[in-house]
Amino acid sequence: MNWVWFHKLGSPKWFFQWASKWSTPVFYLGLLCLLVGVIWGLVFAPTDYQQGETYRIIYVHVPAAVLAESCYLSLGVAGLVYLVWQMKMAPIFIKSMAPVGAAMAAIALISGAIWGKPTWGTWWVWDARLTSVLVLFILYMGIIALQNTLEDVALANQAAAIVSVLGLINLPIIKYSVNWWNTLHQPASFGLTKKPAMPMEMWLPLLISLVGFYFLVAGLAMWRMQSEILLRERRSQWVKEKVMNDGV
Amino acid sequence: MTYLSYFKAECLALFRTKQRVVNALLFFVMVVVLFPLGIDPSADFLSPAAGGIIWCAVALSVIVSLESMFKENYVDGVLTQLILSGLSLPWLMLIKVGVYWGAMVLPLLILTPIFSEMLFLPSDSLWVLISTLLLGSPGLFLIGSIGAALTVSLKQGAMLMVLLILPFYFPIIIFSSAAIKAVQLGMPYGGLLALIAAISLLALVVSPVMTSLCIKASVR
Amino acid sequence: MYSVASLTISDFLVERGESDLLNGLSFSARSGEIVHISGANGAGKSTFFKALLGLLPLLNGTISLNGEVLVRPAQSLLSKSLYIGHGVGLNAALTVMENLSWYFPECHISRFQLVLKELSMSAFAEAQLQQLSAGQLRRVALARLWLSDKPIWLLDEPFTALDQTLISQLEAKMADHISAGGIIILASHLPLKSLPFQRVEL
Ligand SMILES: Nc1ncnc2c1ncn2[C@@H]1O[C@H](COP(=O)(O)OP(=O)(O)OP(=O)(O)O)[C@@H](O)[C@H]1O
Ligand SMILES: [Mg+2]
Repeated sequence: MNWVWFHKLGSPKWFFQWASKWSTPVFYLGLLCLLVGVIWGLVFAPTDYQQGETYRIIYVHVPAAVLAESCYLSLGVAGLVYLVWQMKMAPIFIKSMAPVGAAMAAIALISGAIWGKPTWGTWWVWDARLTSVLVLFILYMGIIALQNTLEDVALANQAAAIVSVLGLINLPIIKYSVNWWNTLHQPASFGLTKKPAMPMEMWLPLLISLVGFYFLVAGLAMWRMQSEILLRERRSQWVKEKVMNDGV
Repeated sequence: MTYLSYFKAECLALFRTKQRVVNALLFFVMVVVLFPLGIDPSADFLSPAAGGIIWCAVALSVIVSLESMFKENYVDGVLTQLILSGLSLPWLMLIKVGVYWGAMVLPLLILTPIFSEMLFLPSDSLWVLISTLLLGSPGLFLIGSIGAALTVSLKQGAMLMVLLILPFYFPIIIFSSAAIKAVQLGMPYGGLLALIAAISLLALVVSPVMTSLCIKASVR
Repeated sequence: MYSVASLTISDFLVERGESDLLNGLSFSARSGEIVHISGANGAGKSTFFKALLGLLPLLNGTISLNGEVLVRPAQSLLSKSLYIGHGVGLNAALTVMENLSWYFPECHISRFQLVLKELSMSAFAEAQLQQLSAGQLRRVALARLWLSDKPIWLLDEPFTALDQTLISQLEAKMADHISAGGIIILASHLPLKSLPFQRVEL
């Protein structure tokens, strides 16, 4: 196996140059997919025979919830990478990704509440999955608060990595909590193994909008990482040269 | 310095500062009292809620008692000497958490029957409550020590520690109160107890290593 | 006699906050030598000790013990050295005696009493640390020098808060240590009065 890419990833300079090429196209590709998916879902997809039109919020809700989990998974992996290899990029990734993940969790919670009102008659139910997204949101806020409070950068890196890794334990709880508690919430809409219960015209736009969310988040994360890299590497030669050449 | 002498020193130090343990226990009492006063003192409400109330109070008082666990040692340079002692830091941390656990859990176990009586917990559930406490509280202390180590360099770390650590307590609290509810409803609870024990075991493996990583990153 | 022949530091560079410290500091201390590190406040004396002991990461630099380059974490250095820094390293909830027996469980009480007597601290053997003055606290911390058998002493401002009598006592103790073949690296703003030393300016 060729590990060169892995070592390159550890170098902020290399990543910065790579990201300045890719972040913008990735972001706009994501935006495009999202628009296609959402418009298709909101306008053209058939009406659900049980829930009527209100189900359409899944085109935002489900991708946001999935992304909130995926972002956390990536934080956990980055945390592990940092604890094991002390790779410089990992804490930059965690710092840039945590607010994005928190935003995704917040979108999932808000859209879930909007969905809940017509479907269950309340804005909020203490159902397992909503609750675990709430916990996920709190975990994100904890990481953000920790990084903002600890002034020593090395300590903040280590601490955020540790909390991210610990939080990985929370992900399986989210995943299986649907089975642990019997609740009002419907079982997961998507499964890789079983055939989706929805007709194709309904889940295809969902899939597209999900892909759009992924790209959007990737683009956002790359942008945030670029500015974080510039901040952290401001004393290094290549950043000074870059600022001299390109202006701020 | 040996593991034994460190253990003795920690026991002595905790004995000298026993007021802290007493304060944490009083905090526990206050939280429990809050529920009948703040919500409803009737047996209809309290009896099914008792397990959950006691567990919430335990979780909060554990956080309160652990918050300052490393603070003085950090300021006085004891943590530095522990790192340099040549002994394994994770084992030292485990010893310290163990001492704190021992000091808290015994009085808690004595208080529990009194409070379960006051909260109208059916007496056949009491043994389950005590089992969950015995199995779950090591997890609380082990996870809490990570939080205490994360915030050791902060003057005001208590709020941050609650924010960081309480989410990790949720599973233990949920399973424990579910087990107590299960026995009240006449349902099997053995699986839940096993889950609680599993979480504590997992914490036993992970926590000392994580705690010592945090300590090493904080002492500089 | 101690089994340590030499401790060599080369090209130390440590990142601390905004700046790089120590600028390639190098020196070598042989058995029976004292290295005296001096420099203004904030020059990086404490930072040097922490980097040497592995509490801070080194951007650059090597440590060799008896001519052998150490790979960090350098257990062989830790097991041979005694570090006393700005923090006294004592448990505030314990008495003087309890603190000493925590560090040296193998020593008998009478040994502690002897050392405390030498440091004129006998009256405080059973005192809580909160009841001690700053200098008395330092004395208890320094008592470890009398009790330990580690060959390398790393002392960060050992004279802080000490009175004249104790300063000369400490210098006498340091003289004993080097004549037994030990190595002392100390950071201080005061030069040593009665001892030869190798000077390193930061
Ligand atoms: N925790 C820290 N985080 C960031 N920078 C620090 C920290 N501690 C010290 N520094 C910086 O590192 C530099 C060296 O500090 P150090 O404590 O090594 O100085 P010193 O030579 O021991 O000074 P003194 O004589 O006052 O003891 C100082 O400029 C200080 O600003
Ligand atoms: Mg200093």
